[in-house]
Amino acid sequence: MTLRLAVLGAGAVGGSVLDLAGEYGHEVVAFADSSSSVTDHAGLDPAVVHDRKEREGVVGDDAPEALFDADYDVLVEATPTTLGDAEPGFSHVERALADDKHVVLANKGPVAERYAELRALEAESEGRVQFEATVGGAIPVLSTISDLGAEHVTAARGVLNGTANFILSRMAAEGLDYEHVLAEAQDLGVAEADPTFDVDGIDAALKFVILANVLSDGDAEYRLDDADVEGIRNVPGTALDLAAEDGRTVRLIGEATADGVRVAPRLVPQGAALAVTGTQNIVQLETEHAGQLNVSGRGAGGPETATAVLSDVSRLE
Amino acid sequence: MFVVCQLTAFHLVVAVAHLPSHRVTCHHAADIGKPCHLRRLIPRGRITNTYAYGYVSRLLSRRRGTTAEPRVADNTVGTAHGGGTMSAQDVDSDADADAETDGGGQMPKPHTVRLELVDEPGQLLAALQPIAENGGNLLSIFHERGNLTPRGHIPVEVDLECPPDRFEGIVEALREAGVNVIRAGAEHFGEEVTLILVGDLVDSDLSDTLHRVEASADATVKDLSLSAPDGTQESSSARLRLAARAGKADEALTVVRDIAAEKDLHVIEPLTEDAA
Repeated sequence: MTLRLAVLGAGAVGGSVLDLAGEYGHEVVAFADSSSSVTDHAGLDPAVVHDRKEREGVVGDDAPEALFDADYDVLVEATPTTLGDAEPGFSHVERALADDKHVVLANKGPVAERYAELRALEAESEGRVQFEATVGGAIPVLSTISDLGAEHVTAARGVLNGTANFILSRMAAEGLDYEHVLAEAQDLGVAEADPTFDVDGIDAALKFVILANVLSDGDAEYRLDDADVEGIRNVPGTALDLAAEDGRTVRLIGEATADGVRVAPRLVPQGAALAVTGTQNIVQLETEHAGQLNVSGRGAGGPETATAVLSDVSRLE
Repeated sequence: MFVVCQLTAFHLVVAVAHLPSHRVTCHHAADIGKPCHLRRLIPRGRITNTYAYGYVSRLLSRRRGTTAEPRVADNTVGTAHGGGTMSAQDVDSDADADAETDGGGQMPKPHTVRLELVDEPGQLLAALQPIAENGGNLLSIFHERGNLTPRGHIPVEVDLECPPDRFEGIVEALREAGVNVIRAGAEHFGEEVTLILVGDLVDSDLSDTLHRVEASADATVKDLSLSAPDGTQESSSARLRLAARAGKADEALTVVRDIAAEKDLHVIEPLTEDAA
């Protein structure tokens, strides 16, 4: 069944959803960035939309809110993640659910900061909320948990920030210091000009907060403030050298366990499943009856995250 | 002041490194039995592992302003031989390669002996000799300075490696030599935890940090590797291997965490082995 998508957010993820929706058997009927929107019930032509965005800085002639007036089935919320009240993302979700539309989130804010409210709104709506893309990009983490049953997964841990992992693994491999590798990562486009979100562990923490919310299955609600977060700025090259001497390395590891959420640089054995290199991500699920389960892959990127969004859309058919 | 020892299969190297000036003094192995040197060991004794050699090398190269691997033997360094003699020898020599244990086919296993020594010069050396003479390889020596037994003796824990059928002979030889063996073979500490401390380790008094960890965590610092390539001005790192009593590893980590927070140090904690 072809679902009609309204995509909010014209960044790498939103743009890729626009490009790839057709391949997954769906069509984008409305598309909005922060200042404009465009609607075409016959389906938008990605090339035309991208071209106008590039030339004029807008995607259409309408105001962004006009997107909600379109005849759509699923709202894809791919605006930048915001902390605290998670606005304006949360209001976007609220409006779609009020209209009994489904919502697929790529924006981590609403699920990390206002999970219980979101679930309450969903319960009152005919629409459902999916958010696979918020944890681990292309890696099917939440769907794996869903298949296993959240009640049978006792803990999740792993590496969910490619930028921090790239920096740590490069520091270890090349014996370079943090500042040097960060500059290299910025040149390569692996790190943002302002890397705070990644290197201070906030991005990873948001993902593990989301995992904790999913795993607690309504028993408890977690927010970013509940997480114990430490980034990688304080990891010098000497620490990686000493770790390597002992057959270990340092990774920014997140944990969502019964004790709560914690993100910190940790010592792991070299060659361990969690010692992924470069921008790879991995999540290790501790299951009640089936031991450990590792899922790894690309945790970020426009097309990668868009595949997670479109998989979620397909689950709503 | 930091003490770094290296005890490989048949080598015993003791080097005393003084920070912040990066002066390194290596002592002849025969001296280590002397209380004056024992008392310089931190925090209550010192143990180390093979990585310590790299650290000493780095300090030496810094001291000499050269990047080449220094010959530790240029300083007076002692080696302990399994055959029972102790002599000064170039550590850079390939003695490791030709020094084989004569274990009669049995694989060497680590053992721990706990001794009580009189606080007099030469006692430790006298206690180590029977071990070497009976086919034991020294792995580490843990000297609990500051902890006196009720009889006023110093407790010393020696980790050694030997084929299981040799161990009894070693203990017997120690007793015959008049060494008071308190405990032999039984595992003293059940759990190990390795972590890295990062920060201004020197100015925050690493000795004190280690001492407090041992005092309050019911744990022992099994070895320490320190890396401070930029001297005392920059943050340095130290890898600690703690041995804690069974079930007490988490407690030891909590103590380290608290001390680190107080001293503005960062702890890179291990992820539990079965989780990684």
